[in-house]
Amino acid sequence: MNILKLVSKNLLRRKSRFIFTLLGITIGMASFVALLSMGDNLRSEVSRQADDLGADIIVMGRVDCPFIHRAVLAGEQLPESVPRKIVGQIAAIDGITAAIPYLTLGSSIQQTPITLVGILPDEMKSHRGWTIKSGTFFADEHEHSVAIGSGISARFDLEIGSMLTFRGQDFPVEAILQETGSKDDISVFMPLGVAQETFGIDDYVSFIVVTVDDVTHTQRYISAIMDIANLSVSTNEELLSSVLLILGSLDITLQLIAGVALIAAAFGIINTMMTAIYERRREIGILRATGSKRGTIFRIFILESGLYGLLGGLLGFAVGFIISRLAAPLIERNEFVAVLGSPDTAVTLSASLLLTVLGLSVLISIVSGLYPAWKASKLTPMEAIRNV
Amino acid sequence: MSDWIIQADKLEKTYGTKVKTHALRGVSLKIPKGSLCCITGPSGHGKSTLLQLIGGLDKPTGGRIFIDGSDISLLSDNKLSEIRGGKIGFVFQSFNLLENLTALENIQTAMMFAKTSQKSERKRALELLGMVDLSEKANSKPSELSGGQLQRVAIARSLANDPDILLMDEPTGNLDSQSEQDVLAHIFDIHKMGKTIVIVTHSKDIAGRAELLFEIHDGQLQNV
Repeated sequence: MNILKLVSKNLLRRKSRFIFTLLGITIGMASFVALLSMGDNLRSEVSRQADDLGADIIVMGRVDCPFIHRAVLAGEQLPESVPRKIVGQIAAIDGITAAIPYLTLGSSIQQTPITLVGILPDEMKSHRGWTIKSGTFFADEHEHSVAIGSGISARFDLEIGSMLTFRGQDFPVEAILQETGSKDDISVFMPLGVAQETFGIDDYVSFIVVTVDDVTHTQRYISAIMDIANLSVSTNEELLSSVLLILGSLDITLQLIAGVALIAAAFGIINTMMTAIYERRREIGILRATGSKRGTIFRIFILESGLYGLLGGLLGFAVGFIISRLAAPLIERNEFVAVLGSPDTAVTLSASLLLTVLGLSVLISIVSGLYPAWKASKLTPMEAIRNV
Repeated sequence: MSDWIIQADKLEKTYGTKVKTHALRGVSLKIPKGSLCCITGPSGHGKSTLLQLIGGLDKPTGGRIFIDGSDISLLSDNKLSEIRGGKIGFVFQSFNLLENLTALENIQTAMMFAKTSQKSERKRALELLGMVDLSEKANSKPSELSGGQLQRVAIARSLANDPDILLMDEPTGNLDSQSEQDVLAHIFDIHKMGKTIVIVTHSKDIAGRAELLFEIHDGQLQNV
């Protein structure tokens, strides 16, 4: 007989109580896994989008808020509020290497919403480093055709020559881009002038991505751009921090929810252990009468709490993973999360996440078990045996 | 080393703080090694309290107790635990077995802290069950055993760490007469092994067979 065997027999003695206490910590840890991973995934997704955009400076319309910043990073539909004529003026500023206009429009293919982007073909191709998977990229700025990302091609089963209809006009697919892993894969591209004409937009674009030759002088370039037009001009980092700020508040909310679940689980363990001590006073007395020291009684009860934590952590990790997989599509449909633009909110399995979850779960359980274990160890043999 | 394995010197035990109950009033006794000793007396006069103090289950409010010449009344809780685990075995009236463990495991539990290997622990527990004629009940839980069988398992458990002293509080108090005779037969066999046995009892039969008999009245001891 050893302490671990004794403890396991104790845990399983009252099976329903064992299961309900375990459920408490499992639910706590599962919400911790699901909610916190969601926050992490959103954050890394936004950072990746900022990297993908590859901008040093972004010129936007005068309406300036984190949601606009997020839409810029994700390349999603935005109001056309930046005059196209300033693109050339910005490009002419000494030290600016490129000024690439984006006209991001909302449209649909087979009743599914997609983003259609009006671009200057050559500038965009070179800035984004695109390679063509099949077909021929726009020969000039007036070509009445579209290029599509590889994701759009796969999703809607489109090939070179397939026809897409926008605003009553047919556009043949002339090029399919090689997969980039970015939002480009699920976008449709059209020469800027053709897009403006098709959608009846004056000579405006949604935003301009600017690259510079020396990032240490970014503030100087921003001032020069603001001299040209009274618009909102930000660095890529500013956009990223602005979006991460919204995520920060979301993170705090998620952490609070997970925290409340964990605290509830901790009290569940304390309650179970205190009840167990009351019920098992005689057993404590018998163990003390047959030679157990106070430390041994303390260890028995701490081990019981710790086992709750270990099992609850393992189950919580598994349940959290399953919940996040099942709930991810629903969460991504939520307006608030959708506006943050993460295509994947599900948990990614990792050994470090598992260890964190197990460590936290065992720690919470052991801390919850400290008081009950101390109470149990303070009982003298006669107090324990007599009070039955 | 003294010939007296147990000595009590002017033992006092008082319960309560506001309303004080004097359970023992200056009890002194000496019990020689290897003897079979009985303590009798009316209920509530301090027999069990005396046994608990001798066994280190409780501490006296005055006086001293010597086990094998060592004063245990001033020992720390941990040292008392070591003595209870090694030198002394207990048998209680209500058996006090752990309900969720088998007979074998109950005996093994008493050896849990003696740093013996799992294999020798099991072997010893089976030997002890054989000694009390319960080999076939090794895997039975307490709920599956009769009163007499339960007490025999408790006796086997008390011998787990081969203690010199066995303290028994009304060991046959909850048993029918046939079971009482079975249990007593085992107790007398154990005594023949050279163990010192102190029994608190109301039974005249047991008291009549004791080598040394004490009677307690109102917390005071009379050597009969």
